[in-house]
Amino acid sequence: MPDVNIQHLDKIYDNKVQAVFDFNLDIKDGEFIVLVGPSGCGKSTTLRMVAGLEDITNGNLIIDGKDCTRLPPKDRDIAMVFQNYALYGHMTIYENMAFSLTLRKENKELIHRKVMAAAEILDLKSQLNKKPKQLSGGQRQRVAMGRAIVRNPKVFLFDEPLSNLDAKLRGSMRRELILLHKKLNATIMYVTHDQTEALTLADRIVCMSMGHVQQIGKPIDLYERPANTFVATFIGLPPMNMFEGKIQGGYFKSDLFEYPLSEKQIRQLKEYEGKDVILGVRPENITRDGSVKLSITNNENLGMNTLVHGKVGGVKNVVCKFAEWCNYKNGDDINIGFDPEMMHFFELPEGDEPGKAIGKEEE
Amino acid sequence: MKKVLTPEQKIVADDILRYKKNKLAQLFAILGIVFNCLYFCLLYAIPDANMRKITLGVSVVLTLVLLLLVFLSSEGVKGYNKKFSIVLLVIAAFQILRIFYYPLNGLLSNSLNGIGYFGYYPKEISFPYFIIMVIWLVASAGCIIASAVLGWIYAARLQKFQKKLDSGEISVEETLKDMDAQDAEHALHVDSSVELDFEEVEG
Repeated sequence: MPDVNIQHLDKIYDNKVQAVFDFNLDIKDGEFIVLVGPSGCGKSTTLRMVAGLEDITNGNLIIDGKDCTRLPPKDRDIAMVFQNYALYGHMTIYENMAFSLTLRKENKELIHRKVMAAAEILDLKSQLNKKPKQLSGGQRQRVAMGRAIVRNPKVFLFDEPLSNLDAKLRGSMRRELILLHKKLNATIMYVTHDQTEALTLADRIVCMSMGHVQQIGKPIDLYERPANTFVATFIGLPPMNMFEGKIQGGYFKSDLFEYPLSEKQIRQLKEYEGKDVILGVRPENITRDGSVKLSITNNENLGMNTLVHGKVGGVKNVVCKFAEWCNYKNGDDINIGFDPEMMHFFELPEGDEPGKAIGKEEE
Repeated sequence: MKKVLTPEQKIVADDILRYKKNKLAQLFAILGIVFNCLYFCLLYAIPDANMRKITLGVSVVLTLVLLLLVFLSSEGVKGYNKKFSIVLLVIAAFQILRIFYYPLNGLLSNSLNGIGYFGYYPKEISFPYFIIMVIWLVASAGCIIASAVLGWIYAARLQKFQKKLDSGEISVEETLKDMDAQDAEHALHVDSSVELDFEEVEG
């Protein structure tokens, strides 16, 4: 499997709307890259540019050392799996999987061997004589993957392949995809708006917003060290709680509460003394032993943990995730605190630009 | 020069039959229908007042039944069903026999003057008209025979292969693995140590 280099990719449509701004990414051989972001952030457009389904306005796409920027899709040696499977309803599963090779006028024996090998990998051998409508959603998606596998492409592209499946099936397909990636050792670019898919599948995640790359990194990096307020609030469920305030005299001071900072935080945030910043804390990093008063508005028991919704200072909505079964009632007051190692600080956003992370040491 | 297949290639070629329909046999049967249509276009184009009797209805019904039977048989041979090959052979024989019923009697109608079947006296047709009608009927019969023969041959081959598979005499999986090992370039490169276990969850 080859490397893929995407350099300064821009997409500007004829109506002058720019969908992707200066996208740069080097994908290593066998890497599983997930593009994640909200609807309209440009992730599918980027994937379609790599596939050749959209023209690249500016920039270069190099696959396995070969400049593919202006090559038609058929010459790029890539395979794409779509959300709606794109299977031919009048063909059997065997014919669907063999279709791309038949079009290339490959030898029948070779086609058969590849289809059988892919069917074996995907556990579809007993379904080969059926039509797509006779299969479940998950099986259809496996057929779509099989059609990609038989081509032995340099890069696999997945455009929200699990979005049409129900939650249970999506979970099992996620596990299957991880194993399939290991089995094939394939280079994969995968687009999703589902952060759970991104966090579980990816070797590296590319988080996008409004056509811009916000952060590229391992799933744990995006979760523990978000680069800005967008990534901080997009990755993680429920999203991170954000509080505006100032760094002053060893405290984070907001209109609603004051919270003492650790020695390490004071040192890291020295240059922001007296300046406005944003404090971000994930619901799971909130403890029940601090000095911030929370008035509870809702208590959701989820079995293994409890989501507690409340207001700080009577105005600011805060979500806490406690690992125990809690039975708070609306109107109860509790004191909460923040895990000092997991407090995130950001600059204030400027216009459309999200606030950058501050005060974290580079590792 | 005919390509000589290795035993493994023969197994693969036979295994393909399990997943592909016999479209060639079906195509010939459909061609048979097309030629039959060309025939009856000529037949019903004859301005024969005598034909506008009950025989016309019988003729139309016969044509429709024949078309339907050939079409159904085409689906049958496509699915490697030997019985439909026999049906097709009977229909082909009927197509040949038809030559001696209308076109020939039409050509010979002068000498047949006064002789008719079911009260129907065929109108005289020209020799070239007769020849074209015969060509369509023969072509139709030829295609239907080809379809029947191809259907029978492939169905027998698949049946034989299936018996061997069921008896364990041959194994497609083993054959494919052997071929992949011999020909690593064409094989899918997979890590066989990773076990996949697909859950069959209905969506």
